[in-house]
Amino acid sequence: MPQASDLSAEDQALVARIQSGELIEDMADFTPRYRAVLQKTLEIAAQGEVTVLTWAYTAYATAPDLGAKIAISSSIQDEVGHAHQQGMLLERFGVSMQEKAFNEDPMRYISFPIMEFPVRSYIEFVVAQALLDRAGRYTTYDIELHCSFAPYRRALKKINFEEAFHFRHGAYWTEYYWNYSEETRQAVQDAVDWIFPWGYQWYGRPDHLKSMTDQMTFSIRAWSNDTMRDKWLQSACKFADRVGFDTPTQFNEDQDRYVLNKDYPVPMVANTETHAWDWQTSTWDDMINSWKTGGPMRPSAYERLQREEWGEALW
Amino acid sequence: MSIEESPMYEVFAREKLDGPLSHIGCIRAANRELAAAHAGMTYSEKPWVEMCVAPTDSFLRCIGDDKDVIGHV
Ligand SMILES: [Fe+2]
Ligand SMILES: [Fe+2]
Repeated sequence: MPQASDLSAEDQALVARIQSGELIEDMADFTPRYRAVLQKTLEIAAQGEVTVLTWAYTAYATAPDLGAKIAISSSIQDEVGHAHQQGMLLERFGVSMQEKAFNEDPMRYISFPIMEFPVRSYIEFVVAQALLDRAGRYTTYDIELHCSFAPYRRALKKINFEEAFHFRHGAYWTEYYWNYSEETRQAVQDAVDWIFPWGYQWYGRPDHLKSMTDQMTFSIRAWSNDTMRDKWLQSACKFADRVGFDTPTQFNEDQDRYVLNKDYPVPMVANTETHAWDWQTSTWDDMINSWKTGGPMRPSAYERLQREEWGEALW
Repeated sequence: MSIEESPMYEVFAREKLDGPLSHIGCIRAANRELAAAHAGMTYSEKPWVEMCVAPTDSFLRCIGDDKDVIGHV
């Protein structure tokens, strides 16, 4: 990734405008490099929304009652809306969301591997909402608050409103199942043990292993990976303490914040065969590579999505 | 006609009876009825008291640049 120092004069002028607090509204003001980083950000985000949908679909069969089925359906409907919002923006970049969703090579879908492990129980679904919609929202909330391209901020209002709803829904039901019976309490803890590391690793490489990105240079976002990770960790741990389930963290009185246990392995690569963690420390390179390989539902989840898009035949 | 060749509609909604009718998004649809249905499904994040759609090309700018239509989110 190029450093901020190798900016062209044109890019420097744009950065200066952005740093003075100006919001960019008109695409005529774009430089090629600004355009490229915005487009890439949108493409990754929009495709990511689609992968939440194919993942949530697998929870449907585990829903204990009609209310749970409705909750899953409405979160799927929301994710379609999230892809739509970013897709309408992508259209202005000459990128077809239809193409990105329905004609992308399923092996090249951009996703988090967790979205490619089928949901095994409704409790796992709500715990994932409580922890991972919380993680995802920090990413999109950062852009809503700080993005230099005004239309992207506006497009994310609806998305962030709904992501907050998703994690509150997850939090409510996580607490409910924690207190319902011995059995459901154990199921919540098992789900947390599986989901928590996905949340911690959500934001990728730590800052010291990363060079300045164009996202930061051009103020597409303002929070670094470590900043977002810490926001997530503090928020998730506070929630854990309130409900009572265990996380691999402790509260450090001196620092006045939650920190990971010393022996917690960072990062880890999930075992796709056992659908579990081996609790072995891996490398960030291996972890990032595992994102490209994906989970056990790749490519089947996207193949199914693409098969069932009826297109012309629907009408 | 594929969805991407369909005309674009701007979506407006009102949150409270005494609040403004605000632009909340845009969609493409084959006709007006589908536009209204699609907007209602997509922008269901709040219990709006009113929602309506209008074709994007029916808008004329008073302030701002004409080549950027009102919508596009
Ligand atoms: Fe989403
Ligand atoms: Fe979500």
